[in-house]
Amino acid sequence: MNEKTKQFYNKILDELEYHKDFEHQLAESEQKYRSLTDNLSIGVYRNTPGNKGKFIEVNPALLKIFGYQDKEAFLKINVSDLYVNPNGRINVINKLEKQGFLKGEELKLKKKDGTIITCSISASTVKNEQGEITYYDGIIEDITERKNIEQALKANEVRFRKLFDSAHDAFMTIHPPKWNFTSGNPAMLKLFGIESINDYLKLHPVDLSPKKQPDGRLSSAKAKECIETALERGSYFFEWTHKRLNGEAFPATVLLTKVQIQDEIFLQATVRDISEQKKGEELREKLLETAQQLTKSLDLDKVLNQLSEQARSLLNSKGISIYMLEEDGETMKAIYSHYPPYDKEVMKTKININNSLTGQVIKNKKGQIFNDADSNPASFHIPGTPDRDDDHIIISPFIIEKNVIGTMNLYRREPQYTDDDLTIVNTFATYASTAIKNARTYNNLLEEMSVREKAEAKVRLSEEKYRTLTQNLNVGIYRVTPGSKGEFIEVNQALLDMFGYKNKEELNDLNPSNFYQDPSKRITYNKKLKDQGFIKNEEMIYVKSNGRPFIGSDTAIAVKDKNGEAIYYDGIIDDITERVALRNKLVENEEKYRSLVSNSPDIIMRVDQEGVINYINYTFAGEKPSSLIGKSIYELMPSEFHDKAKRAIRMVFRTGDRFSYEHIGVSAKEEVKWYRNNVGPIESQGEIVGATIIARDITEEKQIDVMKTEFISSVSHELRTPLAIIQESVAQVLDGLHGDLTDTQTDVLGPCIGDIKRLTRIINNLLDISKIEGQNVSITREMVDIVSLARNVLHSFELKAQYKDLELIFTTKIKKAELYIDHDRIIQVFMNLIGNSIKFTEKGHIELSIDKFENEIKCTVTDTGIGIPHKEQATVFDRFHQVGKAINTPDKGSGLGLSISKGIIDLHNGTIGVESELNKGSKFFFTLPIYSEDEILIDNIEKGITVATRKHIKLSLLIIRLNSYEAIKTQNGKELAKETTHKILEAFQEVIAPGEFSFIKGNNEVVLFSDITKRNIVSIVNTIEDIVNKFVSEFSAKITIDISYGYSVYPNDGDNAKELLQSAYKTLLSNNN
Amino acid sequence: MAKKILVVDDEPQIVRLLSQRLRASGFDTYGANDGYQCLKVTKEVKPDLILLDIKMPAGGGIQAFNNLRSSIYTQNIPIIFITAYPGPEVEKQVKELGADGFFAKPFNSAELLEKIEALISE
Repeated sequence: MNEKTKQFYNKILDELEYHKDFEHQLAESEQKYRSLTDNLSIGVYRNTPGNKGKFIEVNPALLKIFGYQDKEAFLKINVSDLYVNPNGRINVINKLEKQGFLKGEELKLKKKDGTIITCSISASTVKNEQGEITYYDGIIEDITERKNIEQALKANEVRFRKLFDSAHDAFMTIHPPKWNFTSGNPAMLKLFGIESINDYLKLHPVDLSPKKQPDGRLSSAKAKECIETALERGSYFFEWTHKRLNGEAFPATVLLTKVQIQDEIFLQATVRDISEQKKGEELREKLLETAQQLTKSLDLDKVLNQLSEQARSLLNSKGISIYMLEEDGETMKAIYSHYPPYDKEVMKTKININNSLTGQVIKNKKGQIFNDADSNPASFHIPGTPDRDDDHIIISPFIIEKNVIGTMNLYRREPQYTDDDLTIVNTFATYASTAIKNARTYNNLLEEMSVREKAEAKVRLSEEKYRTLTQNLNVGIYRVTPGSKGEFIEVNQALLDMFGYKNKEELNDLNPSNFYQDPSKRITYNKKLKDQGFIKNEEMIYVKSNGRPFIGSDTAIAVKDKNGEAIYYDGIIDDITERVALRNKLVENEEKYRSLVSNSPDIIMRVDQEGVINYINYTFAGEKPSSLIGKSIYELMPSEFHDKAKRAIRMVFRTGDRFSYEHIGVSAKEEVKWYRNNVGPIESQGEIVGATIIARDITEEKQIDVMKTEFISSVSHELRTPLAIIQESVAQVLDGLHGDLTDTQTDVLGPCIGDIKRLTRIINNLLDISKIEGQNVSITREMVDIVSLARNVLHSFELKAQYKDLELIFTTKIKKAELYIDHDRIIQVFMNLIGNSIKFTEKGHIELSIDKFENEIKCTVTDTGIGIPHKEQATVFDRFHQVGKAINTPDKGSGLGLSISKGIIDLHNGTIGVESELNKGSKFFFTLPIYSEDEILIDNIEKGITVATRKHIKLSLLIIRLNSYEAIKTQNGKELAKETTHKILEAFQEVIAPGEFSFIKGNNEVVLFSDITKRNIVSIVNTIEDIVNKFVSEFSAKITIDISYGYSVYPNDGDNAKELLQSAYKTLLSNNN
Repeated sequence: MAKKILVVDDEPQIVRLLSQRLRASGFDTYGANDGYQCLKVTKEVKPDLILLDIKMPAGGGIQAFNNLRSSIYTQNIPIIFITAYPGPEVEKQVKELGADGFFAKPFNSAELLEKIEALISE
């Protein structure tokens, strides 16, 4: 027995002597706290051995547990009479004597009035000097109520967490009057194991529930109630046991939401399977219970041993050690270690708090996670243990009365510890702290004190324990008298903090109804407690001392006297304001998105980077959503669309922008349809984790488009003649052909010419667009450096920008990017985009940037202009779309520029898009795929072949090689040499016609694919040679042009691009020789 | 002697306006409203140049052109097509036929005059 213990013991003895009523006071205080924390109350006893057994000493709590008022009467009964099972006592004694102790033994015992309660018993044997058993000492706890409240609290927390984890919820709708299922998502079919939506629509919610719910009520009756509640409140969240089609029952949460669309009222339900969480919850609960019971045991070694093992195995850790702080307050020594085979090393090494992670925790008085602890400079390596074993460490302090006395340290290699793990370790550490404290005091006292004193000490201990537990809980605990003018008898610090008062007296100065936002709630509270004896998780709005409201969840029971009259209400209030806010937000968001998804006629998919579907809302391509999941979206469209689709998805993942493409697909009814797929990113914590694809059926739109295109084409032709008449008439008058004009007449007619020109431009654009959209136009691809092209176009706007005082910025990280594109058409796109930006920007800048990706070039025009309203952004590329029709700008456009741009980019297999914020600016961007020379060549020849096959015509592939290229390059430079090659191309277009496929391959070859006949080839080549010679003679007298050519004819010389090229090159070589 | 130009268009206003313009520049002008009339007038007046609309009733411009080019008496008369249906396809066709010029409606009369002068002076 050490000095400290002696002092402590003497102090108690002194107190006993000098305060005769100490025992009484202690009992009273103990009683107060004990009953206050009714659900945690503990009975302490000593009884005699033997089959029947008598109690020698019991505490008031024990009497209360068994419903006795009179201690003397209780001492007279046989211990065995308390057992429900007549042989119970014998079994328990056998077990106790065999192992010397009982820990957390759960037993069914009888109260005085016959009520059966569940108790947890921990006991040990007390022996005399001869080693005979003289008594059994033990602790009994009524765990019936505690379990309930604990569960209630936990359920609350878990419930909100579950809402949070929303991911794969099952959605469904049910309609009155029978409340049948009317729709459901794939997750719901999966959840219930239903094959098809049709099977499902035949079901009623009751078919998917067991006959009875866990509380014993009929599912049908309870379901009806839930539906009514939801209809009344607008929404209702509850737990429900469901049944899969195979009969398997599972716990779930259900959120019923009332939906009103026009006159129709129905319910939407969100069901989440919570069986996994339930399992986890049960496991944790069990561990928690063991831990709680363990802490009541007074054998410290055993307690720590078992607590540590529980913590270690629960967290899958390799090692655990318990450190206690030495008296010097600086060094720590391990008192327990499980870290085979290094326990010895751990146990013998002392750690200093100034150079260890454990020390950090002790100083911070807060549990901490140290993942990758080896790389933490503050970590202390225990000599003799492996370097890399304890990669991740979690340390939680033992705190007793605000002082840290030691720590619990857990180690593991993988995976990293999480905040959840920390919560668990903190819980264990709290229990370990209590156990250490109890055991320390108890062990010391046990040796010294008389039986009576020991019992008293135990009471004191438990009293202290509960007081500290009560004060440390961060839920508000109170005891209040019933009635409208209730008085708080006891409250804990957390409750005072919650309401913002200093002490109990301040609370009592006010009427309890003042604590409610709606004072009448106090009446409801009183009534409920009076009628049903308890309230559970009642959500109320309370008011703090500063007038601010908060939402609390109140659980309370009525404590009754022997006449059944309520004397107090004991309760717990938890501040759940944040949780409710979170929940409301979640519910709101959830509803918003759910109705968006369920009311959308579009097919909504979620895909990964490879285009694999992991969610789809509707049947598509004649297949059920369930069988589409896991498939690639490319399987849903013909191969000709794969390139565009892949590029769009790839760009979404790379840039986070939205892209779209159109494709032909098969609908749910197996009809061939056109779809426009809008692809957008799904972001999570700054990373793009997936893409949403919204596929819209645009078949009708397409058909109408064809009609529109034809209509526009014919109208614009029809307009040309009257326009020519007007223009010529006005021009003649203005030219003075019909006599001199007065100045006024000139003023009136003059501007007409400008307007006629504009009208002409509109008609030209219209024709252009109708051709582009009708795919009646081909692009002439040639190698172009898009960087210099873009820079030049931007420069050409310098004057216009200066006029409006706008800054033009050109940004790119690349010096050069050579693409095969239609030079003039791409300029047209840049002109349109930059022109628009300047038109709609009053101050700031226009930025043109070019980015290069692996297979794509992205050009972006950003301005600081008026922006585009969100709802208009989708239609901005439509014909005649002019943003904000009312905009008063002198520089009126045709409303076709963007539409034409889109057509041009489409022809290049690129994508075009816009992002804009009103009054902030717009960002227009387009991408162009980077094709290799061969890709272009082969693709275009194949296209030509398709046309030729359809029209049953022959096509000639002609290759003209400029043999003088090198000579010109040496004498006149590369530029002129290149120009000469280009002249061949131009000459061909001049001789034949523009629009035929012609292409410069390498530096000195021109490839042509045209319906020229074999007979014409020689004369064409001769003409071209003449033209080029003339061109060259303008800058060089020395060079005579030398060209050679080769050709092949489709289908005579081959039926594919490769064969035709091979064949043409063969004749080229033979012509050369 | 003033050069004779035949203007062929199914729209009389075009014929009238073009004729006015050409007369102001010192040409003699004749008009026709379809392919058949075109051939008839050509035979009668032997114009030095024909402005020919493509889409017309009673034998379109292309047919009239082919007829004119197939006769030794008319095959050397320069012909400029004027059409309300411009586009690469038509342009290519016109080029292949061997027409001397091609103008889209609405035309710029100054450019048209320039082209006519160039062709006639050759």
